[in-house]
Amino acid sequence: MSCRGIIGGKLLSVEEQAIRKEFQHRGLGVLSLYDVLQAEEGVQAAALVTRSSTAVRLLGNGFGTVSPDLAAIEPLHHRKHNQLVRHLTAVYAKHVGATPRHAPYVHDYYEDGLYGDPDPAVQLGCLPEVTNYPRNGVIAVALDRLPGV
Amino acid sequence: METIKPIHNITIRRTHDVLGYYATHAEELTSVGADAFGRQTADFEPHLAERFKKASLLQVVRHKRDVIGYALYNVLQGHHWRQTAVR
Repeated sequence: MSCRGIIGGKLLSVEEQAIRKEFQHRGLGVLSLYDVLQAEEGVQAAALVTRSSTAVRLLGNGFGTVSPDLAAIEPLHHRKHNQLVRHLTAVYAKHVGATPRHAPYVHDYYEDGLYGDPDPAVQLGCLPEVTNYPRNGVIAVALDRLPGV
Repeated sequence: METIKPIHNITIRRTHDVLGYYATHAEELTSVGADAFGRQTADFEPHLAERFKKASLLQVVRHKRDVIGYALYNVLQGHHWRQTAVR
């Protein structure tokens, strides 16, 4: 097995995006992602930790494959069938200091809570390990860069 | 159905001097982050300081002259990936 096709490229880590509430859900997160993808040459994948479905979906604006797949009945199906998704998740787990065996979940990532009210994880009902535990996040990884982005 | 109104007069500025920018704009950035995540400013400040320490790229999003958002990124190079490469 080999990950040679993507090793050597760059993995973009989206550490945090914050937009004032009155400007949220108006595409500024996507603009931010486009801007950084155009500025940083050679980015072939992206990853983040989140409790928000919006953040997971954000990655779909730049990449053709996103795990978890929130539109699927089995949202973690890419992990089962795509070695690169598992590999990137493991790399990113190391980056954020997560326990690899818990991947894609990151236990106690939000020790003092990132989010106030409302907790966006209510929209991640398909991932109860996140929804039911306010200190947990999930690693989202994205690959297969979309043409023109 | 809710209509999404386009926003005009948006600018995004990028800098790799993440800590330098934070040092001079901490109060403004904390206010933005606390509002974005529904937190109290005082509670959010330590979180933000830690995040800025760990990031290598900062975007500042302005509407006209006002800072309305920020984004923090890192870029992991290929050699980092190899450390955990699958055999």
